[in-house]
Amino acid sequence: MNAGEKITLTELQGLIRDKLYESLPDFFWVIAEIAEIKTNSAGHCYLELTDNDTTRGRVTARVRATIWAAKYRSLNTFFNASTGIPLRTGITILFKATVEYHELYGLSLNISDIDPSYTAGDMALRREGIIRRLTTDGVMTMNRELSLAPYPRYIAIVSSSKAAGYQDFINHLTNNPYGYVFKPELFEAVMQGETTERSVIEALDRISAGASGYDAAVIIRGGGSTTDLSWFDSYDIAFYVTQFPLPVMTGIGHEKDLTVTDMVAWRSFKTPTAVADFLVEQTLDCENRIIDMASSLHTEAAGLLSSAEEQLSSLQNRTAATARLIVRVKDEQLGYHAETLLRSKNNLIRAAKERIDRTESALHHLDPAGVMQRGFTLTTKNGKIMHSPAGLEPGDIIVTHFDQGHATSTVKETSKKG
Amino acid sequence: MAKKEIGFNEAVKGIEEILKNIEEGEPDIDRLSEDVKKAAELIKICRKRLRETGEKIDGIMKDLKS
Repeated sequence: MNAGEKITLTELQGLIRDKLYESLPDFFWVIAEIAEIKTNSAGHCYLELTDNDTTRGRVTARVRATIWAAKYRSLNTFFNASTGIPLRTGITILFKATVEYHELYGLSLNISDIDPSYTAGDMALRREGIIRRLTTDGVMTMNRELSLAPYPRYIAIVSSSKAAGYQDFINHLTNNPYGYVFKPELFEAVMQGETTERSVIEALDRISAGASGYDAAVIIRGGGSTTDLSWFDSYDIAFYVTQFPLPVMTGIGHEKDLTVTDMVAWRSFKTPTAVADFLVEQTLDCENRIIDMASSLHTEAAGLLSSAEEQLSSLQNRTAATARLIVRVKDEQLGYHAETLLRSKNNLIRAAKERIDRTESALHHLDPAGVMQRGFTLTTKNGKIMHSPAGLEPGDIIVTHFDQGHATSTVKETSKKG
Repeated sequence: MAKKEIGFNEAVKGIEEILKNIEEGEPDIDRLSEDVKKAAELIKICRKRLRETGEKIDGIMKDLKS
């Protein structure tokens, strides 16, 4: 082609296409992230693939790609079976592609094969990265450290009213066999797709604003092996859960692996109904504990009462016994005193009698009659007892008195002793 | 004049004091019947309190079970 020669746009595009086809191999294995994916009514899949500089958060390359309907059906089924997720935005895939160039649409890639093991590995790595980051932040167990109310009644639910699991959860909670009354409140959120992260965080945000009105938060959605749980392998959701002021329980329908959100939750369950059953059992436990406590209380109180009664009876017995003992001792003392008294009275009387006897006998000796009986006499002159011869003169008449009579004499002479 | 009701523990302490007095002290016959009467009154008060408490507890527990 010579300089200055003019060509049409169609010719230029055709030229580029020819050059491309000439110089490029038939196919490439390419790694790229799915930025957009949609299917049309015919079942053809249209994608927007990008390469990202994650450290700068910048897109470094972008291309359109197609998977034709027949291919797409088998590829997507296989991919889903291998990775547990469908082809969707946000994941990185390794695919076999042919470069195509169309005059009207420009460059695009036609995907003929996808290696799911690459995505699985990539997701696992990403997941590990999230876990590592949460661990480094020191927040992995923060929500688990909260304590659940003994009777969790006010339950804030993050789910979609359309989700099958949501209705199951409500049914299990309200129709529990014990008649416990719960107050569930739904905070509507998108539970799958690329808006999941933002939507769930917004719902959690609304609950958090009125956290004091709830006992726990639950994140639930219906399960199934083919549903994509990897939206919950999100650092932002997981971090929000770790910082949440209420215990967060999850029941997002996983069969095998836990999502990162499950891992940081207060407790994770396989299904929404399992969460509801746990809440009912928790309440049953609480009621049983209360019944036990009430019965221990009764036993304790009865024990205290009966020991107080025993103490009282013992005091009563001791008081009565002591009082009776004192009375008896005093009585005995009294008896002893009386006896002593009696004994000493008798002694005194006897002694007095003896003294009296002695005195009597002494007096008996002094009686003049007695004395005269023993031969002594009494001399009188003119009726007057004479004690010595001093009052007597010769010729005086004296009378000598005997026990048995008297004699009258005349004094011849007197003399004195000495 | 309304007298403040004597407490259970106070009453038991009273009984014990009286008992200690007649058990260990020089017994005084003039005071003995007075002391025993006092102790008996205190015991009666305690009994009454125990019975009332027991009935109250049973009532409360019955309330709980209904």
